[in-house]
Amino acid sequence: MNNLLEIKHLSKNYVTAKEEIEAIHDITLAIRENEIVTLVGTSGCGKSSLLSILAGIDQLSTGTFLFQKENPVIGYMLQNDALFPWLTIFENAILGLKIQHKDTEENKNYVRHLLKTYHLEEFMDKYPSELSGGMKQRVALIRTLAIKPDILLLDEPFSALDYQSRLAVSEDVFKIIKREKIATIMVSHDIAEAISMSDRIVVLSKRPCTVKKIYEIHLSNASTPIENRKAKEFASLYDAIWRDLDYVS
Amino acid sequence: MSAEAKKIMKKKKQQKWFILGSQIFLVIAFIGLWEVLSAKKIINPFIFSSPSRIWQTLSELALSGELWKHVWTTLYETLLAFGIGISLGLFIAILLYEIPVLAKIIDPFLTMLNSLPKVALGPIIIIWSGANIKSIIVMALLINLIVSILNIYNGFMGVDEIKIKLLKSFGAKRLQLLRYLILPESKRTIISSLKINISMTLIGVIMGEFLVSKQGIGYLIIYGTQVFNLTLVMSGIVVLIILSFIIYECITVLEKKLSKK
Repeated sequence: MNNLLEIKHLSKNYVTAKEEIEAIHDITLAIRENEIVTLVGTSGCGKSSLLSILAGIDQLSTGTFLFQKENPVIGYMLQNDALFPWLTIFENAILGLKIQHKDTEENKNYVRHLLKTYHLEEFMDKYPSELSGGMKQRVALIRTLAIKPDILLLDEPFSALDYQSRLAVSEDVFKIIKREKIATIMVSHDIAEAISMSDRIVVLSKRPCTVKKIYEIHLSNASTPIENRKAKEFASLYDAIWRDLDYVS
Repeated sequence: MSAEAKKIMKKKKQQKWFILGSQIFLVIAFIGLWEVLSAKKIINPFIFSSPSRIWQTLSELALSGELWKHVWTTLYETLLAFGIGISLGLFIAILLYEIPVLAKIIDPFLTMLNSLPKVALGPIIIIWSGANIKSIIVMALLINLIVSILNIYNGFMGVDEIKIKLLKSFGAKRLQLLRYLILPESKRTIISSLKINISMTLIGVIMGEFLVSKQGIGYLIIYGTQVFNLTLVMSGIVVLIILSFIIYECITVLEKKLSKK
């Protein structure tokens, strides 16, 4: 399988008026096509900073990251749906296209198709306040998919939802990602979520974050996230990752 | 609809009418008591005037056309200062948002100016701008502008960081950030600053008219004081109350219309 993205010796330091804080230290990692890689780590370890750098919002200090494709399109989804309440669902879904001046009729039709495929067609002219938390998250994902990303960056995309919604939405999002065949890097602090959704899990150390261990996830009878939680390897993987995270020191 | 729901709705309607009725009663009682006390000379009618005298003065002023001249002058000055204040406030707030260093540099000066009693600058304004409408507008701007800038700018700064990050991930330029996120998200703050701004502007205009004008409701009040015609002073105050209420209600209607969009 080809590498879609190669991160080499990436480091990030934040400089304030008083001190220099090293957030990320020498991360080397390759992302393959069509895989879901989840970064797990303790709170504030720098995993979201890594996504910000990959999304082009933040600058790295040293190292490189290289996409296989020139000028790749990056889809970024954040902690909450971040839908704009004054825009309709359709207007929200085409927001990225508008900003990139790609809101052609063809692309708008693609968005309509996505909304229809993911059961949001009848809500196109509604406003976000009229949708459930899970539906909003689906719209947020469609807004990201609308720009036809080569890679998806999901920064704790379910953290604003309650537990039941998290399970349901992660199931939805997983199916959408697999169906659309998009390589995904997800940040999560939920080990169970990571195991149930990922092809690989990268355990990051405490700040400054480095790659501590990489787990290839091969669950027996691998299926959807909820089904994956029933796999016999689930508990042992959970324990191993929990120990690696070093929460209790 | 269930009987219980009907009962609750009826109770709520009754309460609404009770509140309105009480408010009307209080106004009538106040005016009536004032009139009686003045007529019976329990309070000095020369100092405290009376509703009937005020009514008479206002009728005379209205019939002679004087009243409308004063009302129009104050209204014109208020709307002018309000328009300039809100446009300039929005422009400066955008500038401060776009140039964070500038915001940091002028922050203490804005705070200082905001806490300064602007009437203290009155004499300087008269010397600089002359004893004319310019001084009145400057005085009103001094009062409304800083508050507008601070309100709108704080609204901009309160915009959800996650949404900013999201737009940046789409490659949004700063102007796009402003167009697609900052301005629409701050709409409520901007609209609510209209309400604060109009009240502040009216205060500034009346203060300005106290200092320099030859026309306007502020002038009417200050002239009444100078000639010790307390009925004229109170007539001016009554007109001011009515005018500020109408302006405020117009802004409320505008606010509702803008909020719906």
